[in-house]
Amino acid sequence: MQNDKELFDLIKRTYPLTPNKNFVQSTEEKLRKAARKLKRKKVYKKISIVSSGLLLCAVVMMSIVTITGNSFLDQAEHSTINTNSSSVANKSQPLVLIHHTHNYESFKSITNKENVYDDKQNITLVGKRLSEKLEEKNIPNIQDTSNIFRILKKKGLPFPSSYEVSRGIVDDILKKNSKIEMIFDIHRDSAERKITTVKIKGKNYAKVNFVVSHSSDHYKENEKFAKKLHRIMETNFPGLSRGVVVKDMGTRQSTYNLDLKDQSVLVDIGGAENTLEEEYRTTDLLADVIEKLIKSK
Amino acid sequence: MEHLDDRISEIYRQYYLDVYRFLICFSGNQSEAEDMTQEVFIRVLNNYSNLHKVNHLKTWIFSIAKHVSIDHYRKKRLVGLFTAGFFTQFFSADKEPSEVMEQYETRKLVHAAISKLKPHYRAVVILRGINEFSIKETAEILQCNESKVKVSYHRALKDLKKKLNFEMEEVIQNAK
Repeated sequence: MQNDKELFDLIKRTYPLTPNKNFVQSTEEKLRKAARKLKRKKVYKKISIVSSGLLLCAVVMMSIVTITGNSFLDQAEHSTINTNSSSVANKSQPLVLIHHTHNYESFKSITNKENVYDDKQNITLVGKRLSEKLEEKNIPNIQDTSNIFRILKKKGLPFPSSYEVSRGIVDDILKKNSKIEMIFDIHRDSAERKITTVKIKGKNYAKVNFVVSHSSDHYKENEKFAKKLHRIMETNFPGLSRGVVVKDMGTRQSTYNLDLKDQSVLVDIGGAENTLEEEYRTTDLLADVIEKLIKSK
Repeated sequence: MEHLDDRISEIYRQYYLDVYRFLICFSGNQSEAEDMTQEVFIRVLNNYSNLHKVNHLKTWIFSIAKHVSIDHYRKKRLVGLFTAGFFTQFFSADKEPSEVMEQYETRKLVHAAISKLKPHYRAVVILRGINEFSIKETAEILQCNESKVKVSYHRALKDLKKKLNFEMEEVIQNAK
C-alpha cells in the first residue's frame, strides 16, 4: 500500500459505485408518492385547527387594532400593509392584492447557506417592491405580509398546509375589500440559476413563471388572465417570461386558492439563486405589465 | 413555488449518489445499500418540517445516513457481515478468468479489511476518503469534535492498512 490515495482508489474499485438505474427511478417515484400522501393526510387532520386558530387570531388582532391603533400592525404576524394609505386610499379601494403563501422563500445571497429559507428577509421584499411600483403608477393595492411560516409553526402544522393558512387570510381581505380585481401570490422557484435568469441588454433579470391550477373552479379565467400577462410581457420584454404552467395532477390537487377570484395567478419571480437586485429589476417590469393590462381594458 | 414532492425529488437527485456511495462502502452489499439509501430519503421526507433548522443540508442528510447505517450494522452483526453473493454480484463476463480471479481476490481483501473496522472508524474513513468531506463537515455529521475526527481518521487508516497487509500476507502464505 503506497499511499492513502491508492488505498482509496482500491476501495472505490472494490464496490459498485453507482446504484441500479431502476432503483434510482423507482425510489424517486416512491418519494414523490409519499410526499403527496403526507400532504393529504395532514391537510385533513389539521384543517379545522387552522380555521379556528385563524378566527381567534383575527378576533385578537381586531381588538388590539381598535384599542391601540395601527402601529401594532407591522410587528404582528397577521399584518396587511396598505401601501397607498396617504395618497389614494381614501379615494379608491385596492384593485390588486399581493400576498405570499410561502413567505419564507428566500435567496442564497441572503441566507448564505444551502437552506434557502428565512423568517424575515425573504420573498415578501419582492412583493413589497411590486406594491411600491404599482403605487407609483396610481394602482391602489394591498400587500399582505402575514408570516405564514410562523403561523404554521405555532399551530404545529406541516409545510404543505401553507395554502390552507393563506386561504383564510386572502378570504378575509376579499371580504373587506370588495373592489379587488386581481390577486398575485408571489413566490420564487427552486430551479437552478441558469433556468431562472435571462440577460437583457447586458443586465441579468430573474425570469417569471405564471402558474395556474387545473383544479380551480376559475381555471379557464385564471388561465386566460395568466396568458394575457405572459403575452404582454413577451411583447415588451422578450425572454423574461417562462410561460404559463398549468398544474394538473388529478382531482386531489390544490387549487392554490386561485378559485377565490377569476383574475388570480401564482407568480414565480426568479429562483433561490437570483440576487435581490435581479428580482427587483424583473418586479419593476412586472408592474409595467400589470399597468398595461389594466389600461388595455 | 415549491411543493413537497418537487422539493424531495430535487434533494434526492442532488444527493442520492453520495449517500449511496457512503452506504455501499459501509455495508458492502449493493441491494442493502440501495435499501438504506431509500430509507435515508424517507427519513429526510418525514423530518422535512425540521428542515428550516438545518444549516447544512448535506451534512444533515449524511448524519441521517450514519444513523441508518449504524442501525443496520446492529441488526446485521447478529447475522454476520459476509454474504456469499457479494463478490459474485458484479463479475463482468468480458474479462479473462485470471484477471477476474485477481480482481476477486483484491476486492475480497479490501472488503474484509473494511468490514473489520469498527463502525465509527469505518464511517470516518469513508466520509473523509470516499465522500471527500472536510474535517469540519465530518465532525458535524458524526456529532463529535474536529480533533476526534483527526485522531480517528489516522488510527482508522493505520488500522486499515495493517489489516490489509495482514490479509495479503496471509494469502501469500497460503499460496506458498
